[in-house]
Amino acid sequence: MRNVTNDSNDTDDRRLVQSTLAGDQDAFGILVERHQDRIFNTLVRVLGCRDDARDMVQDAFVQAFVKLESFRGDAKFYTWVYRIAMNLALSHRRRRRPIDSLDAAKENVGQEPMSQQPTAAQALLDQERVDQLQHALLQLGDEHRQILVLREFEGCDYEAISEILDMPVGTVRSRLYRARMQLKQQLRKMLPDEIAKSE
Amino acid sequence: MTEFNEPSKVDEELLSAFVDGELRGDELKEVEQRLATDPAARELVDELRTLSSELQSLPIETVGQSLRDSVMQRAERAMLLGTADPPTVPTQQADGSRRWAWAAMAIAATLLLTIYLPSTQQEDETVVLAKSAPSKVPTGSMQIEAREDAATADLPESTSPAADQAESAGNQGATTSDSRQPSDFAKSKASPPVGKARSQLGGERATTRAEVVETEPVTPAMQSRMASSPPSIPEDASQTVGDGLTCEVHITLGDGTQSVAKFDGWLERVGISLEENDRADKPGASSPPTEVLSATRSRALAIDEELPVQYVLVEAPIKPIESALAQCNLDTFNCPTIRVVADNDLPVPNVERLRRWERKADEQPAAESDDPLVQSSAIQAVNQGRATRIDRARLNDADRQQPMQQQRYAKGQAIADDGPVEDPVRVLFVLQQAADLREPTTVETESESPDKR
Repeated sequence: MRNVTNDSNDTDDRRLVQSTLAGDQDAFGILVERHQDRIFNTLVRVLGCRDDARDMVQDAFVQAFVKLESFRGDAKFYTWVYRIAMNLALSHRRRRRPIDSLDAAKENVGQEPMSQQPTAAQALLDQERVDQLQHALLQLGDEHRQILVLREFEGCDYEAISEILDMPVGTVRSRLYRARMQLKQQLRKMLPDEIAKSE
Repeated sequence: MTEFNEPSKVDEELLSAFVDGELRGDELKEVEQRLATDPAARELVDELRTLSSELQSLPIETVGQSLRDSVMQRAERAMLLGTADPPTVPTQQADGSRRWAWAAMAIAATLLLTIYLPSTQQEDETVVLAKSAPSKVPTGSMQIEAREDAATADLPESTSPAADQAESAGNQGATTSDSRQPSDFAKSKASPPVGKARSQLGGERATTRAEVVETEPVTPAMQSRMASSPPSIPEDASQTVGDGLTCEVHITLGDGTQSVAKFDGWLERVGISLEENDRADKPGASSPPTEVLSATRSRALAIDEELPVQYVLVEAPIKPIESALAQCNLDTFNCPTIRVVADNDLPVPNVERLRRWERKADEQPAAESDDPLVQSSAIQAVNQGRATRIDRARLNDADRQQPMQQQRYAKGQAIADDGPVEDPVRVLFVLQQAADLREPTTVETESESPDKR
């Protein structure tokens, strides 16, 4: 699993940041290409919409570029951009009506072919279950969805989540637990629909 | 919501952490022993593992194209607009008409970021002019020189609705607390300070009074925000304690007097003592936070002036404030909506902590009754901070002349259930009757209630 705080490219990222600050725009372009898909994947889970996620990724990098001088290297560059992107996404989501139907969620997340080869585990997930999981994720509150995304999609350990969300590790643990329980609850709510469809 | 009757919730948290491989030492041994003997625990662990595995197996989404060029183009525009001034040095890429169109929007943004305090009595007082001007930018071809007076000197008249709005707000008069030179706004327009005020995030106190402060450059996302949001609190100010404001929290009240009483009760419960702002009776009480109110009053879009509204300034460590807000979040009846207003998309930890408890009218509470933040036994609060209610009638009286008092609460007196005691921050609660949530007759009755307090 990937870990935000153990990114092997971190040293190289810092060098690219320094180059950008020294006037080399191409260096920042490399940073964009390096991290865009990872942030995009996360934001799709948070926003439930590919178009919005793409916009937010761009906005995040634009803000990062403009604010680059304030990046002091205390955190990893990716972590820094990730936090900008996540805040943008959550603000955006708050301004938008929640997705209230499975069909809408499917439409927004899209069923486009993925650019990466599916893993064996992915192959085991049928499309209906994928839809259910995506829809259930979108029904969670922001704080629960955010922490689940960090854990399950970003592969962050508790300490990394604690750093990113600026909360004690104990809170990370309890919130993750609550998030999972709520996700289970949301998935359970979908069961009657599933049964009805099969009948 | 506990679905597994056997283990307690704390135990289940341990099992969840076990699935994540986050347990060590005694906790790990405890869980392993339990799993050996407890089928219910094993079942939960299996469920959590399956759920985790399924989530991790969701297809990976990719953008499908490089965002490099579009990001760099937008970044270039943002850097151009970051000066808020028409460029004196033409940029290589931007053609003339496009450049001036962006510059016009930047000017409108500058006007929106001008913070006013409406006044009927002191219209000659000063305003805080927030001027977009980053101190340094990444060097290279995007760096442009800014004329200090260009943003205002070349200002087109009413070039946009935003400009109209800002101009209208400006006509209402303005004030700040400690810089009382008449017509500072006009002065600023004629000859803005050459020096740029700057404060460090989380460091030295922000200079928020009647001076140029830096704001973030205008990005397309910001333009979108400006279309729907009131002016922003400068980022640096939102980090400060004392004369800076962390953020505002706008709460609609479901039931007038009862809701206000509830809110007061939550503050008291977390150890924030409420003081009515009546200096005549209470010498030494805090003066109204004029610069805070100036920011609030400028947010005409956020506050319905036709409805009763109360301003409660809270000065306390973030934790008790968060705790009070979590209790607001739980009470969907008395607090139908909660909104944190800071207009800052960059991470500001204290603001983000409060944002967790935002709630729209149709949303479920984020808080849970067993959350430590809402359990009085866990709060153990005494003397955590102070809240000052500021009546609207007081906004225009002589209180505004008083300088802001710096109130800090002794760290030793604040009791937190975990972690270090934090420095106090300032949060302005704006409480307003939720007109659209009540029957018309009820609104009429209830709408008078808050002001009677």
